[in-house]
Amino acid sequence: MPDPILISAQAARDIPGLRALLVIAMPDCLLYDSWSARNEDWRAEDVASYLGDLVRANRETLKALRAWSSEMQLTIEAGEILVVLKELGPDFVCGAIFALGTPLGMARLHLRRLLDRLEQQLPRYEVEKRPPAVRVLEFLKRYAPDPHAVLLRVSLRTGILHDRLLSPEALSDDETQQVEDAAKSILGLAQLNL
Amino acid sequence: MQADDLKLSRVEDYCLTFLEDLPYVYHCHHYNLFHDQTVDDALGEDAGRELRMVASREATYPLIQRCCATAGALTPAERLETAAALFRWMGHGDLEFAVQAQGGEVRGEHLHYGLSWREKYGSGVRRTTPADAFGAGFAAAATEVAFNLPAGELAVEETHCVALREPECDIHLAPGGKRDLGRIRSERAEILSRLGATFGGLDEERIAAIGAGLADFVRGAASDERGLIRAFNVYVTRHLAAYYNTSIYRAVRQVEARMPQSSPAAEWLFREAGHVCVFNTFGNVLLSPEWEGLIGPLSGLAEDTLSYCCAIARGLGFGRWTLAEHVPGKRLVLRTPATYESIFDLCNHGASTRGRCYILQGAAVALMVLAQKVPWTESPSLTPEFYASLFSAGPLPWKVEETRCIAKGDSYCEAVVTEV
Amino acid sequence: MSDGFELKPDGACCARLNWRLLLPAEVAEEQLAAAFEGSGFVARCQRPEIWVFRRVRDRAELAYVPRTRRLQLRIDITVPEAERPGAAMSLASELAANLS
Repeated sequence: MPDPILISAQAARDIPGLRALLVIAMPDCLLYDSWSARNEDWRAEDVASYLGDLVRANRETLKALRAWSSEMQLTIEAGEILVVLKELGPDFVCGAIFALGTPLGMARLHLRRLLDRLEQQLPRYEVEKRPPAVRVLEFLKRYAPDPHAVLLRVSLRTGILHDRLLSPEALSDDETQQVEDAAKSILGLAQLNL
Repeated sequence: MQADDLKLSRVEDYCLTFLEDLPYVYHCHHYNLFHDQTVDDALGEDAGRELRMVASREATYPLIQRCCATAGALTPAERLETAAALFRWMGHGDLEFAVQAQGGEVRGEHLHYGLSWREKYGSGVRRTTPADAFGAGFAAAATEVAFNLPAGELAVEETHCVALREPECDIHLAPGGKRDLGRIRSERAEILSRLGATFGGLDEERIAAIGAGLADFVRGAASDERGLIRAFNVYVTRHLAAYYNTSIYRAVRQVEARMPQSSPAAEWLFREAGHVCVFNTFGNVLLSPEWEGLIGPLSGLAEDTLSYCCAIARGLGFGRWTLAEHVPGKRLVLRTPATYESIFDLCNHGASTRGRCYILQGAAVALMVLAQKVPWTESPSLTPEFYASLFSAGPLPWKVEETRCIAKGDSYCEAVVTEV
Repeated sequence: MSDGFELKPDGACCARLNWRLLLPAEVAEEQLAAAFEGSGFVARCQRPEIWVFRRVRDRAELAYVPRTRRLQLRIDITVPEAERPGAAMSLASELAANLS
């Protein structure tokens, strides 16, 4: 991972059991900043989008249950890691990856202090909404079967040339709708919640 | 049903295999699912499924007729029993018929497409249409043959499917079929009469020996009581070439006619199916205990990998793939006096203006990738992630051109792989 | 599992389906067929180059290569992916016990 921009490496190192920290810009689930204690065998860019999707799904679930609050925190235990996800204001999400077995109470306390500092440094701006076709195609590449072939599949389904799909921001509204319909068919979804 | 109960033949000069004089090949579920998916991408789910079902009916009706004749099955019950045994022998699962001449119900268990789709994709994607068009088409053809009905007499629909997260697959047959099925030209005699002289290539003696040995071994691979064939690290089907070819060539031609701007994408995806086939089927065969026992541990040398892959293609009935030229990492010329694809296209559609061997084209590039980029001696795991790292992490360093094709009127097919 | 045996993932067309059971040097080839049969496996193919045994109960298979002593455990495709490692470990333990 590259050196972090905002995350204090020293402060992160002081959090017991913390293996990695990712800051993700929403709603596009793009990696904004990251830190890791050691070389991991995964790329922060690859993980960031899924963590963002998780927080979004969690938020929508809790809203549907009338139980959402901005203080919500999501904890996942899996394999040898513990993942803690937290929203940082309206535009960012933080994913903290701990070694499994880390005393959670102490870790959360340290993490909260770090995130409080971090939250104040994060930019306050109106997140630019990227064109829907860009977001649909990114979503498809994350979740479609055979992601390596998904652009060709969309091209074949829509009749939009493959080269044009490489610049989805330039697609017309009609073409964007076609891309979205193709995505729904490929994923078997009635609607895309992006 | 055993191999000895069927009329099987193999023409070693072309490495084509025939079941009741109809060409058949071996493909695993990775290829089969990608093939069907591409047909649906080209035509949409409903039209794609309809085409696949028609392709199945056209291909299997004459096969079932002939199998019943070979078995001496005369009554409807005997014919249905023969058809079900044939379906299991082909590795497509188990069909239980409760039908009359007016139709009825067919229960499918462990059907290849539904079962393998759920295995491969089911945890990540929701499917909205049933997956077993081949099985449904086969069930309709078997019922029509059993009751001496013309092909296409019955309407058929798969009403439940395990790929839809339902507990079983059910196929409903009723009067009111369209009876407008085409007649496929896929006969052994015609195919052989239209092929040119055979030939060999580099490392011919070794490739021929391994290919013939593999063909012999897979011919004897029995399906289990559920109709599944497991060998060489893969679940494999014995499949009629006519099913693949009918669905591919009709889909491609429909795209060419209705949406010509999309035909490069269609052809690219059918070539991609060749990558999928070589990576998953050929790769798993190479890493299997059967291969290690019959041929020996892998050396990892590029020339060995290429020879082995040609032998595998021959063993699976894809044609007599030969190595005409090989400059490691730079150039590969794959040449064959027959493929199961081009000769079908020529017989059914006349001379084409372009190469039509999509498997051969895709496989040629994939062979180069397997030879140059896979560390075989380290027993790599052939996972989707590894596939993505080989075939989609940026543009491939090689491109392929089918410079000769029997479908164009050439006397052989040739795929040339060069550096980009 | 008994000492000297080791279970590792092996190549397969589906996730976690095939497993390689490393045999200790002291296990003789002559013991294998009887050990397989003792666990309910029946030979489907027993050529000098390759043996394949199958068990009807759970449709598991064993493939053994005499020339390299490679032993592959094959779990059935109908076993859910999450349960395959456990099924492989259980089968490996059973075989190891028969061979120890």
